[in-house]
Amino acid sequence: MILTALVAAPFVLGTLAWVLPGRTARRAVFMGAGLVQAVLAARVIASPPPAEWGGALGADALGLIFLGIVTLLFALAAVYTFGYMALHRHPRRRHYVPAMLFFLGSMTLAVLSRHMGLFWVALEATTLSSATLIFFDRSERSLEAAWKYLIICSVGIALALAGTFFMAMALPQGAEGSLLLDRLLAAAPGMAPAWLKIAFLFLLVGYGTKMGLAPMHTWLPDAHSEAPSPVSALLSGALLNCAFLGILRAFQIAQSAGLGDFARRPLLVLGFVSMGTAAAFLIRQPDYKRLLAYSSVEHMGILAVGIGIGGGPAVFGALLHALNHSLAKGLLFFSAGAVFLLYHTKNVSGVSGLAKRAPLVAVLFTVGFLAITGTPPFGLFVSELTILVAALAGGHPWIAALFLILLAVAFAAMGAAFLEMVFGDPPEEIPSTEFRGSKAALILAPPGLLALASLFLGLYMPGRLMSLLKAASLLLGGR
Amino acid sequence: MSSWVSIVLVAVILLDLLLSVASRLSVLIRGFAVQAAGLAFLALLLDGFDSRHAWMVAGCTLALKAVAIPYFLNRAVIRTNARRELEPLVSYGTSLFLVALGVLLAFALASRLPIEARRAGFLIAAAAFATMITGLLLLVTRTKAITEVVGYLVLENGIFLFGLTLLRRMPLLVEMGILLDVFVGAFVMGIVVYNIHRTFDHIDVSALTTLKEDEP
Repeated sequence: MILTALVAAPFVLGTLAWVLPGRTARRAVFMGAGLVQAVLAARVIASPPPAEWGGALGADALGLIFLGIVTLLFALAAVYTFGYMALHRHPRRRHYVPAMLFFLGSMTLAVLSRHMGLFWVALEATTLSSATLIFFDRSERSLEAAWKYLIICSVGIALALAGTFFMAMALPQGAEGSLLLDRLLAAAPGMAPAWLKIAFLFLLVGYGTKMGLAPMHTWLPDAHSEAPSPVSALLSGALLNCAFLGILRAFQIAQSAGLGDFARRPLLVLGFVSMGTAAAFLIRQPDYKRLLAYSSVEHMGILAVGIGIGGGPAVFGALLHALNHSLAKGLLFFSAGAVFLLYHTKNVSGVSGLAKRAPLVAVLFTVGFLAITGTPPFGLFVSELTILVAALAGGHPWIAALFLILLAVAFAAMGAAFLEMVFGDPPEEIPSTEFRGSKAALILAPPGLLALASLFLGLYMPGRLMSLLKAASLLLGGR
Repeated sequence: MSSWVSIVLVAVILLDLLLSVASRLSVLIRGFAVQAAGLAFLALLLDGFDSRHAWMVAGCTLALKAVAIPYFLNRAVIRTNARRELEPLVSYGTSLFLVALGVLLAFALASRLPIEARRAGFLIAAAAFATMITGLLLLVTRTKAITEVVGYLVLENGIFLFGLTLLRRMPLLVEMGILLDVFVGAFVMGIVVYNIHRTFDHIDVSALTTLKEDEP
C-alpha cells in the first residue's frame, strides 16, 4: 500500500493543484507534496515494504538509492522555488506546480517500477511533464530547447521501447513470462542471445539519450540552461539518474544471462565519449548554466565508465558517484539560480566579483565547484577515487590514465570560469535585486544543506547507506 | 485468418512507401492514421476476437492514434498554415528509394532473427522494422516540425507492431500506459509546434539554431 501511496500522492496532489484556483492554495499543495513524499520515502527506505501490483512495483536497493536522491532534491527544490519565483522577474505560470508534481510522480514511479514496460511508461511521462517546465520562460530560446528535448528524448525513448520488446522476444518459448524484472532475471540464462544483445543495445542508446550520454546528449545543454534553476537541478540531479537506472536494469538482465562482458564494452565507450565531449565543450564555455549542463554529461560518462569497468568496487563507486553528483549538481544549479537573480545574465563574462557582491552565494558557488570537480574532502573525491583504484586493481592502467586526464581537463576548464565569476570587481551597471530577508534565506538554505551533505559524505559513510550501496552493487554483479 | 494478417501487414508496408513520398501534410497524417487503424485491426486478428484484452487495445489504438492524434495534428496544420513539406532535405524520389531499401533491409533483418513461426512472426517483424526505418527517415530528412512529429509517431507504430506479437504477455496497464504516453506526447508536441509557429512565424525546425555552441 505504501508504495502505491508514494506513487499516487504526487499525481493526486498535482491534479488538485491544477483545478485549485489561487496561488496560495497551489503553494500549500506543493509544499504538502514535498512533505508527503519525504515522509513516505523515508519510511520506505528505513524498512523496504514487500512488492505491490503483482511484483511490478517494488523497492530494491538500487531503486531505494535513487528514490532517496529524487525525494531529497525535490523537497529542496520545493523550498527553493518559493524564494526563486518571488525574486524572479518573469510572470507566474499556473501550470508550474502541477507539472512539477506530475514530474515527481513519474520519477517516483520509474525508480520503484520492477517491470520494464512500466518503467518505460514512467520515463516517457517524465519527458512530457518536464517539457512544459523547460518552456517556462516562453522565450524563443526556451521554445527551441523544449522542442529539441521533446523530439530527441521521445525518439530515444521510443528506441528503448523497441529494446524492451526485443527483450521480451528473447524469452525462451514456454517461459510465458512478462516484462517483470524478476521473471526476466530468472529466465535470462535461457534467453536467445541474439535478441538479448540487440535489446541491450537499443535500451542503452534509448535510455542513454535521456541520461545525456554523448553523442546523444545534444538536447541536454539547451534544456538544462533554459529551464528555471529549480527545474534544472531536478533535471540534472534526479532525472538523469532515473534514465541511468533504466540502463542498470538492462545491464542486470544481460549480466544474469552471462552477457556481462558484452554489455560492459559499449558502456565504457559511451562513458569515455561523454567525458571527452563534455571536456571539449567545458573549455571556455561562455554560459555558466551550459557549463553546469556539460559537467552533467561528464559525470554521466563517469557513471557509465564505472559500470563499464565492472567488478564490485567500481560498481560501488559508480553508484556512490551518482548520489554525490546529485548533491553537488543540485547545490550548483541552486546557487547558479541565485547568481542569475543577482546579475540577470547567464554569461560567464557578465558575472564578476561575486565574492564582493554576495559573499554567501560566492561561498556556496565555490564549495559547489570544489565538490563537483572531485576536490577532497568532498564526496565526489571519494567516489572518483574508488573508480580509479578499481580500474587500476582490475588491470586497466590506460582506462585509469584516460579517466584522470579527462577529470583534470574538466577541473581546469571549470576552474577558469569560476575564478572569473567569483573574484574581481562587480560590474558597475547591474540592476539591483532585493536579495535579502526571508526570500534570500529560502534560496540559500537548500544549497547550503546540499553543501553540508556533500562534505559529510566525503568524510563519513552512514551505515545504512553503506549497506544499501553494497546490496545494490551486488545486484549489478559486484561482490 | 492468417491471410488477413498478411494482407494487413502488406498494407502497412505499402503505407510506409506512401508516407515517404507524401508531400501534403494532410496526406501524411491520413497515411499515419490508416496505418494505426491497421494495427488496431491486427491486434484483434492476432489475439482472437473473443479476447477482451485485444478489444481494449484495439479500441484505444483506434480512438487515440487513428482519430484523436490525427485530429490534433490536422488542427495544428490548419492553424500554422503549413500545408506542404516544401523543402525536404532529400528529394521525394530519393526518399522513396531509401524506404524501399529499408524494406529490403527489414526483411533481411527479420529473416536473421529467431522468431516464433506460429504467429506469422516473420512478416510482423519485417513490417515492424520497415515501419521503424520509415519513421526514422521521416525524422531526419524533413524540416517541418509537424512532419517530424509524424515521423516519431510512425516510428512508434513500428515498435507497437512488435509489441502486438507479445499482446498476451503484457499487462493491460502497461499497454494503456504506452498508448497514453504517445497520445500525450503528440498532444504536447502539437502545442509546441503551434508555439513555434507563433513565435517564429514558420515551423521549419532547420531554422531553430539559436542554441548552438558559439566560438568563444
